[in-house]
Amino acid sequence: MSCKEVRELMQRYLDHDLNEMEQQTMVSHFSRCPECSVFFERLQQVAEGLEALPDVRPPFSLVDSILPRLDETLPERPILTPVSADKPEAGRRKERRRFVSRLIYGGTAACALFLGVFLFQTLDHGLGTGAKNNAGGVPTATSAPVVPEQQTVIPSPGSTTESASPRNAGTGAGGGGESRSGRKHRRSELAAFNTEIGGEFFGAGEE
Amino acid sequence: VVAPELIKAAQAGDRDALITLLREIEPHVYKTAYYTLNNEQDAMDASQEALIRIYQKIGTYEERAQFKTWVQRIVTNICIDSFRRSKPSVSIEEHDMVFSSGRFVEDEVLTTFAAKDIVAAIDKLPVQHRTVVVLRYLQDFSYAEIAESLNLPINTVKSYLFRARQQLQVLLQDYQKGGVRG
Repeated sequence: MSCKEVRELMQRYLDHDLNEMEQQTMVSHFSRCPECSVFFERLQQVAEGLEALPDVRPPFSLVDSILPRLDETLPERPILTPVSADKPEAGRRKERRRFVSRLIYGGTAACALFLGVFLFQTLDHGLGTGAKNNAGGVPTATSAPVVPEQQTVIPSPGSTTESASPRNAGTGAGGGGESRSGRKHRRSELAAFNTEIGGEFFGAGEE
Repeated sequence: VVAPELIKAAQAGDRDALITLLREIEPHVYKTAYYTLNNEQDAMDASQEALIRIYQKIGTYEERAQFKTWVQRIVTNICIDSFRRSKPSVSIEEHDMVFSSGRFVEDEVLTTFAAKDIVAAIDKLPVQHRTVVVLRYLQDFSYAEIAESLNLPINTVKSYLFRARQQLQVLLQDYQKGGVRG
């Protein structure tokens, strides 16, 4: 058995996770390998030190100190129906988040629309009939309604070329607002993600 | 161990039972926070936040999980958040300290490590390793209980714990030899 494997046995030994056989294997290795033997002593010392860490107590009762806040938290009907009592709150939050994201998406969609119209005019004026070849499969007849998502594929100053999603179109058209709205969006994604991880426990506490 | 009847009563809306329950778990909550954050004030803040959250969320606790791992999960998550808030720029990368063979053979007397050195060494560990060590040694949790608390596979728990002890061992040797502290 290699020293590496024995090191694993040592570790498990410290957690009382070895059977008789494994323990014997480990000990017999020590008789042949002084290095592992010394290492084992060191490791055991660490474990003893960890086991001997002193208990600690808060300087005053934390429950007493939060009692006033607990009264505020659930004033009238504490937790008679805990799960359903929780729901309206969660629902409202979700609602708010949906509203915010609707704002963001609505905003970017509007920007994309604007950009689309703007591009059409630019193409019409600047490039004239050349736009027909340029735009590939995109219908470019002047009477055609705006197709924001596809239009924004055409590189324009400030727009990122990686994808044609409304979000990118929006940030592109927004010019100076690009990084800010991008960051805000990321933050809201992050918040949603956090809430998901926290799941059952962390519903209420996101700042 | 918190009595199941107490948990049930607390979940059913008995406020006194819930407060009693919080008083019972307070020392365990604080201990984890203290050794994870290595600072009394931060530990109190995190513990208070955890107790409030437990108060609010007691209704969501399900018997599938052990109550103590449910509680520790809440505390450690709050500690990890608090830790990341307070030290956002310091990247606590792993000191990958490998045992150099032959190094110990020449050192002779083994003295026991001082608690303050151990605490200082724990403070140097990456936060996930630290939480595993705290649950293992301060809460006396098994691999399975740690895994349940941190929502990690058992093998990950083991590898964090093993590496943590190995790292502590190297750090503590340095302290003993009068190496740089803090």
